[in-house]
Amino acid sequence: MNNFSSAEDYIVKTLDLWKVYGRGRLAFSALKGVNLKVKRGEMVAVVGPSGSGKSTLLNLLGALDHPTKGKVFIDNIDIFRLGDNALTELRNRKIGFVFQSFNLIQRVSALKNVEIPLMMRNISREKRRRLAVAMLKAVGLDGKFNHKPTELSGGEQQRVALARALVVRPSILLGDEITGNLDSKTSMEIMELIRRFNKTLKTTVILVTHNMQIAKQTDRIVYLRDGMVEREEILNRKV
Amino acid sequence: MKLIDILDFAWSGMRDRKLRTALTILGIVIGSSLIVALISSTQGLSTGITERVSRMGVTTISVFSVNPTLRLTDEDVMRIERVEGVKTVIPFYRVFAKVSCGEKTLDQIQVLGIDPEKLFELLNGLELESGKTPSSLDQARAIIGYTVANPPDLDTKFADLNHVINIEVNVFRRGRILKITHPFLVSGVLKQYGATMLGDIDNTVFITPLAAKSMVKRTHYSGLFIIAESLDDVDPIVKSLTDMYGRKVRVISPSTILQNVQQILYQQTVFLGSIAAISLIVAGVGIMNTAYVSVMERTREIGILKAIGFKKRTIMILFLSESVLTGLIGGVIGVAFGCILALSMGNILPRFRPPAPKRMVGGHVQLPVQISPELLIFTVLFTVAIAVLAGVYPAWKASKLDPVAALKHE
Repeated sequence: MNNFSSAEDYIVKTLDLWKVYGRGRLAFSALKGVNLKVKRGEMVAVVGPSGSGKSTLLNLLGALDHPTKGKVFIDNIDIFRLGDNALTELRNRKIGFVFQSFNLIQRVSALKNVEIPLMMRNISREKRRRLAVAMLKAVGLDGKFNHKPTELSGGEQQRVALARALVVRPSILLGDEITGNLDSKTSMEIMELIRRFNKTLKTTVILVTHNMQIAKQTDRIVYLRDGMVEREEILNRKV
Repeated sequence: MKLIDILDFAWSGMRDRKLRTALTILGIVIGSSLIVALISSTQGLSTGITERVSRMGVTTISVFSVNPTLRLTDEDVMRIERVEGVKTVIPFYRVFAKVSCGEKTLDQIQVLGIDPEKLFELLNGLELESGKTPSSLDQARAIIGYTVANPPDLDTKFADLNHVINIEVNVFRRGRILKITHPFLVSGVLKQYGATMLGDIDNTVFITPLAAKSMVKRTHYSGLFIIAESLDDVDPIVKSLTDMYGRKVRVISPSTILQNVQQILYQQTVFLGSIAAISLIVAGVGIMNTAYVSVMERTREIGILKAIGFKKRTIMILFLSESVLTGLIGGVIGVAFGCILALSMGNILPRFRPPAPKRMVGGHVQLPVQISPELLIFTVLFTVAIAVLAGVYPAWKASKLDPVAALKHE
């Protein structure tokens, strides 16, 4: 396991990260040596046009995919040197995902959806329920615990997804176009929630978006183009 | 992940596709119930036959003439009595007659002309409910079986102690059939006994050989029962009888019957059990199909679970649990249904009998059914094993899905 020493506390760091799809003449490089550092508690937006490699980068940061080359460090752990189980456990303990299409399990209630990540932690049913209820209340879904996703609006579904991602108190929240399916008012409400959790829970947030309005609500914008970091824009030096 | 959570999750997945789950379970129910019903019926049949044969005593040998030129008479009785190892020879007459008592009539009742005292020696455990056995010289008294006295299709008793019954037999005389009726006084009523090699004892009227002889107007017996001194004497006696009569007689010893019957029934059990097992395997293919379709349909869900941090092993267990639950529910319902089916078969099947045994009228003999706990446990375990085998591949496929591709799946 490689550690890297740094004067600053980086929770996420990528080193020369490459992702190549296909082989030979059909090979396509989605990421071409991305170097990115994210401080603990920071809120970062990764923006770029379609095909710039935003989602690929997010999948690698979330250990959902393996890079062709390069490294990803989370909490100073070179995550792709971990075994499959350890990687999955890291995903469960340190990373929370929120997706554009909410990705809730349709057949179970909002409450159950939020409880699911806790199931992997052998937490008692009562405690699980308590944590899930508290989280759903925190995202403003009091009274809709037993609604199934199909009985909720898009904004409410995204709130459930947010609650599910945050119920395990992850160090990092990764969001992939989380407001892509929402109207602007609801998008702002969700962003407000995320900002609040970033502040209160000190959760590091990395959002992939092509919505500059959303990006501008973060501390830093990383511009990605053709699989490379084009430039960065710091909006808030609080971190 | 706790077992209860795994089962809860699996159950919610099954409930989500109620009809498909129900149809898959139905396939399992059919397979497992067939196993229970067919095996318990044949096992019951085997036990029933063994019991019937053993009731006559394992040292009892039956001899019947199968050649019209050979007529078994008192000479044969004396000849056989001299054979080494023979304890006693019991000759008998057997006819089927119309029996009436007052206004009530029973058709095709078995009438056995046999020494009343030796009858009890021949049939282990046979007892009188009331009355007494007539002497072997008595030509006017009869003992009646339990069902003759209490026919199930009559509201009242057919006959009781000291009632007079009339036995009407057909006698061939100079090329003509004559109906001859003989009255008998009921001197004894037997307790319920059941069927034996001598037929259904409960549905039989017993008279003395002398009475039978004068009634049927013939000197030769229908057959002979030979009781051997010991089990070791049975085979030498059978050999002596074969030497004496060749193929003119049919010699039946309980041990030969048991051997043959058990062999046939064992083969039948294996054959029917295999058919049932194949139907269960087909149902297993159904489970596999359901599980596979479920994995395809829930690819996105698998991606979500992986993103949330579910290990490959956990995802495999989740999907395998659905198959196992399907198998377990199907197995348990199937076993219960199989028991009902077996008991129904025990009641219904004897009604579909070939004409000959139908002569034993006045109700039917219930087909014995032997439902052993071992069979039920085995069937459930076998069903679950099939479900596990069927569910492993789809569950493995689910666990191996690439999370990124799974999340993109529509």
